[in-house]
Amino acid sequence: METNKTIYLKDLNVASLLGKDEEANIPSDLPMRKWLFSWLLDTTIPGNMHKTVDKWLGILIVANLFTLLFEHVPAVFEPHKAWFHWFDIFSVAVFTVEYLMRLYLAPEDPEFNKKKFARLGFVSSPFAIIDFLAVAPFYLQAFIPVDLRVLRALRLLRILKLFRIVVPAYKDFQVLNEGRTFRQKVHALVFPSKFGGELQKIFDIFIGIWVLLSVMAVILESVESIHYILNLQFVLLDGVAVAIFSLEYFMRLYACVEEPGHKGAFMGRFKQAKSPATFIDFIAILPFFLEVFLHHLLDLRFLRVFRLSRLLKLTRNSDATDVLFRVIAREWPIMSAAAFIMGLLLVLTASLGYLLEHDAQPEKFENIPQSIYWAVITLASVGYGDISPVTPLGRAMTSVLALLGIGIFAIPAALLASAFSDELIKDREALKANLFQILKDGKIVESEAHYIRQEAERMHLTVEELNALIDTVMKEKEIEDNLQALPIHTIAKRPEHAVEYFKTAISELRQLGMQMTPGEFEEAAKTSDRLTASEMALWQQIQGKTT
Amino acid sequence: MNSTELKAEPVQTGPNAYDIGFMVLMALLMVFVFWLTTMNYSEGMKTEVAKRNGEAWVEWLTTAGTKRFEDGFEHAACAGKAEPGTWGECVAYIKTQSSLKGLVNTFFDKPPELIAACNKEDLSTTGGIVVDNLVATPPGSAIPLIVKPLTEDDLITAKLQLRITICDKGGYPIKISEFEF
Repeated sequence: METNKTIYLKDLNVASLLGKDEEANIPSDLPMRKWLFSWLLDTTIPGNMHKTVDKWLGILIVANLFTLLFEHVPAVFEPHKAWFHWFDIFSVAVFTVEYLMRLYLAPEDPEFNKKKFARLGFVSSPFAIIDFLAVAPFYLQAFIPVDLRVLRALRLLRILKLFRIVVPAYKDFQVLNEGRTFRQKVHALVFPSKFGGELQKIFDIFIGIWVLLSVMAVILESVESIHYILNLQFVLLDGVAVAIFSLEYFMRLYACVEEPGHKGAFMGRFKQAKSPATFIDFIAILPFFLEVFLHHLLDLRFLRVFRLSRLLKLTRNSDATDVLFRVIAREWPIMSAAAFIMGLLLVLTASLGYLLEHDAQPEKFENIPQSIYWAVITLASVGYGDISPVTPLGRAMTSVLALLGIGIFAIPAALLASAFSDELIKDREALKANLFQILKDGKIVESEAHYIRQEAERMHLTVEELNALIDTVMKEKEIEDNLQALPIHTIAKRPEHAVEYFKTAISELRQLGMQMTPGEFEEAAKTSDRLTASEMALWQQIQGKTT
Repeated sequence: MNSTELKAEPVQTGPNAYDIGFMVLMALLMVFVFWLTTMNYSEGMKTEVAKRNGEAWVEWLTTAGTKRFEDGFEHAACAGKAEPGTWGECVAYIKTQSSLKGLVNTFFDKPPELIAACNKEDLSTTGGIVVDNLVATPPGSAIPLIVKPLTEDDLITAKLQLRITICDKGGYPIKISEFEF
């Protein structure tokens, strides 16, 4: 749902526009309870601590889930029993403080303060019941002997505390997507858009966590001692990860037709499927299915390493990767030329190395392919030293080769660096041009503010940088407004100013013609012979009287 | 007919037939992944059983190793002073009369075989147990130990440094432990 909030330029505050005016304005002379509520729990005060509180509680809840999982692995749990115990005490302490704090602050909470007994209202609310259940088993075991398995099962209830974060995001998502179709909602959830809201961010974080978990699992699986202990846990983790990634993959394929440029049930999806990001998603799940079906035909253990490609899934949320791909694509002709020269040099060097060193070291420079390895190591300035020339000519050539290597390998690096810088300048220029259009009418509507926020985030612009950019645009706008007051040579410096100046001049000439009696101008020009034929023809053309 | 005369088409915001089809497919996909994970898990369980078998062998041989040179050692076939005192005799005893006789290689539902080495080309080695003899090399050698499979004719009349390995589903070795026997 788009709000119709409009910001006028005179009221423009860039920090506020970017949502970075984090300085909460809470008077310190408020009553203690109100003050605490405003700082810690009030979701309506920007810049207070409620997001931080939610974030750290969320992290603690997820950490609890992991400890609970590892408690089921005797090899991990038994030697670190004390650590698990103290972590549990710490978690319960934090959750208890949170519960008591919410109970104490309930009369300040708009959700409960209208009730006769605000705290009773809080205690009987679903979230408070979940919070209570999250800590109750710990205290229960102090009085009643509870079976450890039951206790662990009850502690699973702590996960439900995440609802405190997810439910408001879901409600917000519902509001944003009111009146939209199911597919559009799926699209809003999996693709970044103005309809996604906080839930889309949570979805991205959720996928990100699973990517990191599964990649960590792949890395740890290669450690024999860890794999020995956690073999089954790795199997389960991979199964859950594949289920999540498969669901995400198909949700993207299903909803991609809502993306601009992806129209058409088949072609749109095909286009999405062959996009690098979606292809990576596919590669991330493929080894699981291949290994299950083909393991009896051939050893597909090597495929497991492809699960590391899941890490690339994280690049979906990074615009820097897009920029990198764009830069490489842009510089591809020059880079391929550099690569060609590099290849040529390699072959020539390897051949010369073979010719000069073969007789002296037949076992090291046995043939040209073997010499290529030496050439690459030397050109790249790696120099392992396992193969080195011994003949004077070979050494002389190697000296030249090493120097050439520095230059040859530096070319692509320099190209990329300069292209990166160009790309960033281009992006900023594009934003500047758009800001020029946006600021033309002296106000910023919500959709324009959304665009500015998005671009500032994409280009990692700070408040100061965006402020400077807006200042530049404003100055240029002023200049354009006062173009007529500028001397011709200043206008001539900027072609776009010259065009604007030309348009204004023509418009003024047309107005002049309209103000005069028809034929009066022509008559005066003819009698006094003031205009040449071509000047008269141009006047006629401007006035729309082409002959 | 101008646009104002057109009746606005009611917008369907709930799931349509395609959406329901998609949801059903997703549910089937989840069931499928669950089934495959269950399969992987049960295969993993077989490897776990093989590991437990290997651990049981390690425990038995380690315990026996501490006492087998004493007089009146209860498992005579594996005693240090046994005649003829070969590994083959000891293994035969362990497989038939010791507490390890009930072990099962769940990959094939039969007792685990003692094999020379795991072989990924030969999946009949799956779940098998490899007992290697670690022979120390003279001081100053490039490698500290020579590893060779313990054969039936090898004598066990002296202390041995052994290593037990089991073979997993793909015929790859999983080292269990090194110990003195």
